Amino acid sequence: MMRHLLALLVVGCSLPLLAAMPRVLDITQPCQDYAIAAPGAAHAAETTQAIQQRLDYLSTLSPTGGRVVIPRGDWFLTAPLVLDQGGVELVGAGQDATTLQAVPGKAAMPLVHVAMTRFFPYLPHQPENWVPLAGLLDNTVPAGRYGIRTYTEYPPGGNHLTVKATKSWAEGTAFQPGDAVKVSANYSQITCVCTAVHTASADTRPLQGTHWTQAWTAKVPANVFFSMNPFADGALDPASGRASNLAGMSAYTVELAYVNNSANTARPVAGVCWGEAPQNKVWALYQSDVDSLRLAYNLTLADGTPVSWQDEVNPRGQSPTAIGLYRVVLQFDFTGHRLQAWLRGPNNPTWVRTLNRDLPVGAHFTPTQKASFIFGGYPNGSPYANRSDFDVPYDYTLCGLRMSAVPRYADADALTLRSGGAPTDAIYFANDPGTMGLLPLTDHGEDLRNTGYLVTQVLGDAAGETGEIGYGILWPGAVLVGRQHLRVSDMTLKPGPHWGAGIVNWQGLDSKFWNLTIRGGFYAIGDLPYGCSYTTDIRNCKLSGAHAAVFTDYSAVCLRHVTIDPCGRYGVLLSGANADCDDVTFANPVTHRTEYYLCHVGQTYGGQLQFTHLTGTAPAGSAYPSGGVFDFTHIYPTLVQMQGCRFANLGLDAALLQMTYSRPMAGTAPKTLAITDVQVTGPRLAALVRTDDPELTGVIDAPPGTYRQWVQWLAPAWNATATYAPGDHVVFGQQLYVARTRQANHPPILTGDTDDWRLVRLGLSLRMPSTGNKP
Amino acid sequence: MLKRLCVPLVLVLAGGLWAGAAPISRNLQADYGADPANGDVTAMLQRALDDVAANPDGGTVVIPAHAQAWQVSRPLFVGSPKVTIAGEGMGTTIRMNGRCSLFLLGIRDAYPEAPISAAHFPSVAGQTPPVLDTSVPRATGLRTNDGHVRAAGFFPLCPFTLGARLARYPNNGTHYSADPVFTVELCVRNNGDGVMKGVICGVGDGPRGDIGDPMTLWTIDSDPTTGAHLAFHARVQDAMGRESLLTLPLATAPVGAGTLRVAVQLDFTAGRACAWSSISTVLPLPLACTAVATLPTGTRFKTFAYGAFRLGRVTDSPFTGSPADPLTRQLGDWTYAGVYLGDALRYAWPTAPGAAQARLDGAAITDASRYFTRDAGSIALSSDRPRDPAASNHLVLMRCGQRTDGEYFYGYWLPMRPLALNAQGGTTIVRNLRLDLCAPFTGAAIVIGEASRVSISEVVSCMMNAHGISDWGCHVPNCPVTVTHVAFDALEAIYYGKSQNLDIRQFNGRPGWTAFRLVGCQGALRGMLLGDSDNTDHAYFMLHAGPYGGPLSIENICFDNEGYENPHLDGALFYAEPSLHPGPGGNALDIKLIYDGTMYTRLNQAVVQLADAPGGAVTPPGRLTLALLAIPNAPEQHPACLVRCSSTHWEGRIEGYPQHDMRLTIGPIDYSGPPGGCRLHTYQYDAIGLPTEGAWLAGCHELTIPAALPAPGSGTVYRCTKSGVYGTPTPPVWTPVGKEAK
Repeated sequence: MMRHLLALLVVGCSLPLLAAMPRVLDITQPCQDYAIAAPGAAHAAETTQAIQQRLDYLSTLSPTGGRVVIPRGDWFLTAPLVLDQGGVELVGAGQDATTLQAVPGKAAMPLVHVAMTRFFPYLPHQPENWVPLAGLLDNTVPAGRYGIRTYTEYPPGGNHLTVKATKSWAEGTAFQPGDAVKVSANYSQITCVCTAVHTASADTRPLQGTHWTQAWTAKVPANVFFSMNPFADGALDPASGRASNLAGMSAYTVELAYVNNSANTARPVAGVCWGEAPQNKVWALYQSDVDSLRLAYNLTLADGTPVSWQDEVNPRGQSPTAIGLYRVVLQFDFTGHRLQAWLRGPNNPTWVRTLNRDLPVGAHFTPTQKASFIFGGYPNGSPYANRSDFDVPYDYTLCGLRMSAVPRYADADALTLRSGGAPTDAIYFANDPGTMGLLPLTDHGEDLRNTGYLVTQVLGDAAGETGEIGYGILWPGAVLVGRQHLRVSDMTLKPGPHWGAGIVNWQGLDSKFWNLTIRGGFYAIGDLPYGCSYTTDIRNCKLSGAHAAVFTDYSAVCLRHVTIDPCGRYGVLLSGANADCDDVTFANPVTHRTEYYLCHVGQTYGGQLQFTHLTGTAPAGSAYPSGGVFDFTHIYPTLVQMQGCRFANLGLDAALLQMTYSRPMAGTAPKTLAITDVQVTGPRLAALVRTDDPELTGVIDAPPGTYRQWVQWLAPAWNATATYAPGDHVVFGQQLYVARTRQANHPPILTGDTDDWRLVRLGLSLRMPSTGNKP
Repeated sequence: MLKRLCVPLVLVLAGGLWAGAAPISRNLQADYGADPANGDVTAMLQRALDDVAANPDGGTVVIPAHAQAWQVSRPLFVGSPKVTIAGEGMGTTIRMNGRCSLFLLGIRDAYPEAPISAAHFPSVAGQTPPVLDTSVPRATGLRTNDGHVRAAGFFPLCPFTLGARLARYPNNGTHYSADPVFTVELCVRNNGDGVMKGVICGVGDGPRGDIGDPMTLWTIDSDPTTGAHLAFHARVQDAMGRESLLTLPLATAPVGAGTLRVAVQLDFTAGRACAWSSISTVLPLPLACTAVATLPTGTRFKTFAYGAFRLGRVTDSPFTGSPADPLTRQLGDWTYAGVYLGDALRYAWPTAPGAAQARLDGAAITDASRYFTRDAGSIALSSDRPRDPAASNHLVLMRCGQRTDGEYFYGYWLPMRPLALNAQGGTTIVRNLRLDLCAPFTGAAIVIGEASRVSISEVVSCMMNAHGISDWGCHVPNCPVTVTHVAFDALEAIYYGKSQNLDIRQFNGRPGWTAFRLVGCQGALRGMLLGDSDNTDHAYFMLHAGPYGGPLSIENICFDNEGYENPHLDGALFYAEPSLHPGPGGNALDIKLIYDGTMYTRLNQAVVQLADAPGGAVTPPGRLTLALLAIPNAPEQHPACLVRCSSTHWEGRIEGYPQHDMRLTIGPIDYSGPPGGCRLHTYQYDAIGLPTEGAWLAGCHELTIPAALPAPGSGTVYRCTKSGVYGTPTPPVWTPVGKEAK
């Protein structure tokens, strides 16, 4: 009876009553016609729906929002939760009381997205973004697959509407069908094409007016984006229990199929990358402006020398810009020292080996600290990598993608599987041994409301989580919007173990992550790149991520009373960030073979770093963190203050601080160190400071007798047989020199500068603690 | 022994419990039936606050999260220091629909020991003898004395306070110093048989309460002893920034019984000023010109810190002091019948004193046109509803012009009473709320009055008020104020504190004319992101001298203007004066880890500007420690110097600033005081060589140049032993003084 009454009550709670609904919504209490959550994996679907419906409701009230309360219990999710509008809070009953985790089979998914947009009201995803693959690939492909198209038009109906003339929009201007305007939207531009004769008014202003869709059609680009998963970060390294970050892989095979839907030149196809600069790529496949399909890739040679190479992937004389289906195989075999590519394009009825070159012995992919995999967007690492500035936006349909940690094909002109036989299109959907991940392409547009932007990924055994599902994002252009005052607190999140994240943050402004236990995942709390999240406040948390417990990018972050146990590759990974860390404990660097407790990747922002009362503990005899406490590359003005910190049992080859500058962007940014009251106990370290930065300055109070060297130069010794270019660094007579001119065989002179070499004088003042920091 | 002590303690505690004196909790919705859907909840929320405040041990007012905002329309008084106002996070929104502050902590709605009565608000229209002429059919005045209680007007954070230009919505971004035209008109009746002495009205925030106080901006006042020489006074500055006093005489003889009318008109653009006045005991008389003055080109109101507009007395406290205070006692029995401020020219310029007043538009001059016409850029005490007695005992409405419907602001008619400083103890707490104040550029989200301890956390204010958190100047000495995890935007300052002991962490905000304006405060501020501040005009931190103060630590501040140039910032990131009585900790100012993120300056800006206390007040010396700066490397982002100072009362230690590419166009110290008087010293332990540009002072700079391969004790120390400027015939001289200490 009571249930009936409740049901009536819920049904009766119609839309006009929405305004009277409370703003603190318990997921176990009736509310509207929303689902009611129940603990346990068996109720994961209802729980996910119950939470998301309440979050969505509160989002409609943004910016004032409200709070979704998750009571005590173990709760399971079938899809990531999204807090996509300002003022929305997700609050549990306490770290020891409320637990959120993925339902079995979806271990690799991120659990909570914060400050993301799940639906894009003014430029929504459309069913047309998902294209049935039937008839596109061969008939070995299982049914029910949908390719992902990176271009649509909104309102839907057109297909690359023709632009007859480009104009500027202004009220009163007369527009004819075919006139186009470029509309600035969220740091981007969207091309809108006039579809009806009209005189411009505020009401029909493109993307803004109430009735703009009656007069305009927007060309909406999108790109597929993956981070925190094997596509971006490589196979699992079983020894360390974390991602290999591609650099540790002995083989790497990419099998990719896509349709080029529009003729165009000079545009990217896919790649793994982490920034704008050419060297900030692991690899990128792109159409160049000379009508070629090229593979750019960055390797590190056996002696540590980084190299950036490019090779043609399409046959000479054949345009890669023709409309049609392309199948590409890239195979890096670092053990066999061979790089090969095969291509089967619309003009190639059969596979053709278009690239076959030796790789140097000992070469491997260039190391990364953070990376993204992007398809159909500019490969700069940002999820937001596509825009319609171009007259013809990137328009691809992703039809198949598999990455493997093994060489799958024989070294031969004909594409032949090492297991024998020629491949069919079923390869893209086969989770064979050695697979890192693949796209099942089972998402489709009819389910848009539920799937939102999610792109399902299936992990293989090389990812350590065979069959588990992770997610990428189909990211549309012009949806870059910061969200304010979001909060996740008072619960335990269980992502991972190796991939995904507890909380994914992007463009969060004043986000609060308090009283959380998050152990597992690639990150416990991680930004998507280029997030510009400020300020992210993390306090009273117990965290751990296989790559890093916390990752933040272009942001300002505050950590207070945080324990990181175990540490991942890093404890905290900062990228172009300002950070204020107080009372942070780093524990157990052995499990994941930690490199550094803290790492800062230089970007064109950030560098205000205050570390007080940090503690790092490792068992006696630990070789980790192998690199040291802090690895820092800088571009921007930089202050690093470290005070009141205690570290025990750092690795034998560790330096307390590694300070490098990012080439070629850096070199002029002021930076200084202030290290006081830092104690290091345990074995003597390799060095206090390890650097290649000729302009490093600062004051360091260092305990005596703890370091085998005060300063260790990160540069090769001068070699009489080498030729040096301006800017090259060498160590000669324990001093660091920078080449002024191009020259060979002219050694630096120990006494100082010459016309050829500049002796580096660091402004680095080292002091014993007994003297204090002041003379 | 311990056991013996514990037993009585337990009994005392238990006794308290037995007596029922425990904090109580009241829920605005459940206990008072408040429902946002039913509109304004001011009365219910005030009742909840009063109920909790009435409990000896205070308690908590819970404001639940709700789909709609809780709407209030006038200030809420939190009269007990033991009150907690708790929301439920971002879902709890309080929307202030009035043009006033929201929470007044430590301010009561009524003071029984000095009650405001209806006699403080007499009618001033249709009276015999007349106060206002017949053009005003209905008006209520503000009377300073009802026969029992003296009272005076206090108008904080409104256009009266911040400049008439503020009345011109939406153009708000300036204050008195940028007003090209200023007009003030006043009508006040002297009810008594004595003469009017002292300050009649003005803007200021200093303890002296007259134009001699450097914290007073302008007044209309007469000799406090004789009442003679009634004049308009204003602190102005010329194009070079030199300050002077502008005086426009209004009357020579003391003003006795009758009605005084005053008009003053300043046109800084044309360089003209004049004043008119009349004194009538029977009928309103035409005003005659009493002063004509020429203003030098570039003259304007001085760049002013902040001060409330006041009637009766101009002081630094909302309560105008003890009745025993001689200055208070001289306040006579006056009735303010009309007050008008504007930034438009009204009257033709007279050629000489004595000329009759004439409007520029040729219209007739009446009291209605003088005081109650809401023309462009005007603000006036309302003619019909100057007080809102249904709302509060001492709230006063004033009306802003320009808009045809007018905009009401709140002022306060407050009794003269001694401050009950720190009388009750306890902590006033505001937490977990979202404040949505719909009246931009006026009021404050939270006002601190006679509070003994304040804690504000997890509060977000979404509209740009005049102040985010403000202080009315009750000067509870070193009142502990803890503020964490808050975000405020503001027009004038996101934080205004007086005599507070601060503990502020994780404060994000968009500064207004400044970010933090602190008067005689001490404590610690750590972790702030201050951005999007294109209105900030002198410094982000204005640290003023005050009656109290002490050591103040500011660290980890990021100024991030998102790459936009601030066209106004001409001072420094920090401006500091030493406080008068800083206590045993002294005037120590410790600024560390300052990060100039993406702020473009180009305006000869310093990082820190040090000054003496206003008016040459004698203070304990200031001690600056400035360490760890990061300044962007783009040339347009470089400051001119690290510290600018003309004072010999500041000593300081500056260290930890990067030398590489930090091009200081002047040098580390821009000192303009007496030769040899600079007591600031820079220490650079990580120099890469001797400097090659800028000005350097003998005895003020020490450099350590570490060896090429750093090791403890390997650096060579140099001192500047002769002042000079690089690029001139007399460059500075550096002398090696030995090796650095190991």
